Amino acid sequence: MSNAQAVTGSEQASFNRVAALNEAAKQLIARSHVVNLLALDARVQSKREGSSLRGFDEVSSQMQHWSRDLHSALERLAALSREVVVEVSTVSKEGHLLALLRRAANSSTSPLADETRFRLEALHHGRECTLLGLWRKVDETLGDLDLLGMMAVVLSRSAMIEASSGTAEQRAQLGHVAQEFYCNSEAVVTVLKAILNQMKRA
Amino acid sequence: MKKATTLYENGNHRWQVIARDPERPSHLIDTNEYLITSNSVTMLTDPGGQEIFPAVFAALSEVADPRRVTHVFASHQDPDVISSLALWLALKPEIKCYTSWLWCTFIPHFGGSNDTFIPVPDDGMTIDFGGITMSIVPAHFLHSSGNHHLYDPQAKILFSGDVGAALLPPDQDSLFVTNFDQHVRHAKGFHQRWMGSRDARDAWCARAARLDIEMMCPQHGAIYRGKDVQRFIDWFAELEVGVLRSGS
Repeated sequence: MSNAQAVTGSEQASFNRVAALNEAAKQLIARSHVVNLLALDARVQSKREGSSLRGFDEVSSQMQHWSRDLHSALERLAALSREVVVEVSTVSKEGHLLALLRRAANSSTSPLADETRFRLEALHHGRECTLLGLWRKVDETLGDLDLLGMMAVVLSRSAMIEASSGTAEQRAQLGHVAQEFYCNSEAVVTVLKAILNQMKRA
Repeated sequence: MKKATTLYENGNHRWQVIARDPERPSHLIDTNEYLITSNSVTMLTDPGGQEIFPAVFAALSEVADPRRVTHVFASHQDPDVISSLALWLALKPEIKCYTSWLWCTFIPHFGGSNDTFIPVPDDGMTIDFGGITMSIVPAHFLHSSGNHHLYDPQAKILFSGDVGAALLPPDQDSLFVTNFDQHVRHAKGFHQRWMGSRDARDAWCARAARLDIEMMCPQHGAIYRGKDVQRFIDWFAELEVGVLRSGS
């Protein structure tokens, strides 16, 4: 089977991968919003408490950065998934045209159908390369997201350590925030693992 | 990119419109696609031409998982209505398409097989759609010879295909009709040229007037709400149709 046939034959898989990516991105965006709000709230609280919670303030600031980085990576992913849909749609249409041209060439003595087919096949091959390039970029972005997932877990653990350094009242207040950071980070990692596994299987 | 907007929501029953693509090339007519969800079933009405498939797919993905689309409804056979069918079937081969029996052997030129189509008889039909009953109502010769609209009595929404369509200038892209008199200026030429039969028009107006409609949702242009629905029916009932004026 040629690469072109392989790509054309996997239209459904490609659409499914894009749909799965979009669904995962929606969940991750929701999580990143929650983390951003939590971090903002935590920063206000720790600022109010003064120098004793400088460490927690710093970790919360890092969580805000993380949330923004996650958001940017997801925006890149969304733009890529739109490009993939455009390419897969075109590959699908061209694949259908090629199949028809092959049939026309088989039942015709004129070289025209073959000439047209060759031209379209060259275009199709270019499109296939573009599509493969896009999928590589998707994989890279998923790799970035994977790193961000790991970073979130580390940050949320740091938040827990910092939260435990304050007074009993501060521990009660910030322990809850740190726990929320942790839960959201874990959820992000779970979603990422699921989508990465799905991409690997595809 | 097109944008999805919710028109109606009651529990798991929703109507959303996918419309207004600022990046749409000017040589393609603008279209509205409607996504109807009821529990586990999802239908896309007049899913559009193949050129706009990526824009519809992307906008739909923002509000729903496109793999959950179970049905499409094609009001008629035009390319801006249903030429994307092959791409939707590439995503999900099990999708079923409701369309007039008249077009069940024509639309497969765009895609689909014997298993894809649910032929709609001339008199229309009622369908059980995820626990709600919707009516496919006849709208023949408006403009196509085999033409249907879709009515949801619970949401009180009529998807009216090309009836109510308006070719809006780029600076008037409101999703809803805000000034009826101004709006119908952009609908007049379209209805006079595309709608060729006075009898068909009269039958449709009588039928539509009997329905309880809060929103009338055309495939092109803006959505009519509240009193503008009846205003449109009255306006259309008086309009001279089947008028040929040289456009180019």
